[in-house]
This record gives sequence, C-alpha cells and structure tokens, in this order.
Amino acid sequence: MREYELMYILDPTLDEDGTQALIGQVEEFMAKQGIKVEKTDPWGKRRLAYNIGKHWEGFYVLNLLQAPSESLMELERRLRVTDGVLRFITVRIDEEQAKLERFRAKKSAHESAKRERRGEPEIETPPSRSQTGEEAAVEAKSTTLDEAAPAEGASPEKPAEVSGGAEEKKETVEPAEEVN
Amino acid sequence: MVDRNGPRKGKRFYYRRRKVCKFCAEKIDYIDWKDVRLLSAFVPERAKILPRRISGTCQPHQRKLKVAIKRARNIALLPYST
Repeated sequence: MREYELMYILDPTLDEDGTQALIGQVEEFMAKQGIKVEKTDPWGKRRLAYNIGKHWEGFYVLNLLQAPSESLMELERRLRVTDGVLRFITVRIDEEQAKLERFRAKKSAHESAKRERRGEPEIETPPSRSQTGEEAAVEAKSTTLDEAAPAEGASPEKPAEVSGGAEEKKETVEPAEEVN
Repeated sequence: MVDRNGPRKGKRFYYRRRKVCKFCAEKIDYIDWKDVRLLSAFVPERAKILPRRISGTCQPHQRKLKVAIKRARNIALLPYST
C-alpha cells in the first residue's frame, strides 16, 4: 500500500447531480479496486490557468488515497477514459513524507546535540545569540509593560498636580489683585 | 569586525537588503503543489519560474519549488509559459 494524492478536474458544464454522480462513480471504482480513500475534498469550480479544450473552468476534486500500485494504474487508465474528467494528476507522497520525517528527525537531533555542546563549553556567543536576543526582546517587552503600567498610573496624577498647582497659583494671585 | 567595516566606508550608501529564502525564513520544508497562493508568488506574469537570483530562494528549496510548480501546471492551477 502506498499513499497518493489524486486530483482531478471535472467538466464544469455538468449540473450538480452530474458531478456528484461522476464523483460517486470514481469512488465506487476505487472501492472496487481496493483503494482506500482517506480524504475527499471537493474544491468546487475554479478558473483554470489555461483552457483545456474549450473549457476555462473546472470542478476540482482532491483525494487522499491508500492504494497498491497496480490498482492505481488501473484507476489512471479508467480516469483517462472517463468522459467528464478533463484532467487528473496522481502524486505519490509517502516517499516524500518519509524523507521529510527523516530530515526533521535528523534536524532535531542535530539541534539538540548542538544545544548539549553549547551548554557545557564556554563558547556561547554565536549559537546563543538568537536565544539571548529573544530573551532580551521578552525582557524588553516586560520592562516596557512595567514602565507602561506605572506611567499610566502616574500620568493622571501629574496633570492633576499641575492643574492643582495652577489653581493654587491663581488663588494666590487673585487675592493679591483684590488687595490692590 | 571594526577593521572589516573600515574599507566599506566609501560604499556606505550601497547597502542592499540581503535576500532571504522565503521557505527557510518561514520554515516551510514541504512545498505543497496545491498551495496556489504560495506558488503564484514565484510565477510572474510571463508564467516562467522566477529564478533564484531574483527571488533569493536557496538551492534546495528552489528544487522543490520547481517540482511543485510543474505539478501545479499540469493540473491547470498555474499557467504554462508558452
């Protein structure tokens, strides 16, 4: 069993029942061939990037399959013959996925090894730069927050004081004028 | 470091932003051929694949990008350049 992605484009001039019937037909055929459909995702009508025959639109359907290779070949043959299927593509993805997994595992292992090496010896500057940078950023954020909070608390006080002072001054001035 | 910066002094207005591989920067290790929005950024109007020297994509990612774009072309998600 291998994993494949299958995408096919159906004739857009078919009505909804027609497309559904065609999708059903394809799925029935896949079931008969022993292909397990893991996911079906009808994208719906989309503009094509170029015309296929006389069509500028197409009904896209995406499937995720688990299939033995012989039955996939059978499916491709069938799709090629089926009217209403403008185009299809099958992509084998299990190999790529496996490769990716290996790559990721290797990468993470490498990273952890690097960190281990980095933790014990004194050479900390080049690898830890990003970390310190992040920490610094976090600290900066927190400090700005800390500063911001008192500032917010203080800001209403200051104008109050200022205004109070102004009032006092006014009061002090006014009596003087009255005296004169 | 300081010494290295020394001779550059005369050219100080020539700083150009260093191009960074988009896939490395965003840590995309699998380039999905179905992701039209992502791929179309690398297929300009004439529908040719954007060269590495312009997009700044690194070699391994450009290789994967090439495959993805070609698959997408096959299923009319992206245009051919003819």
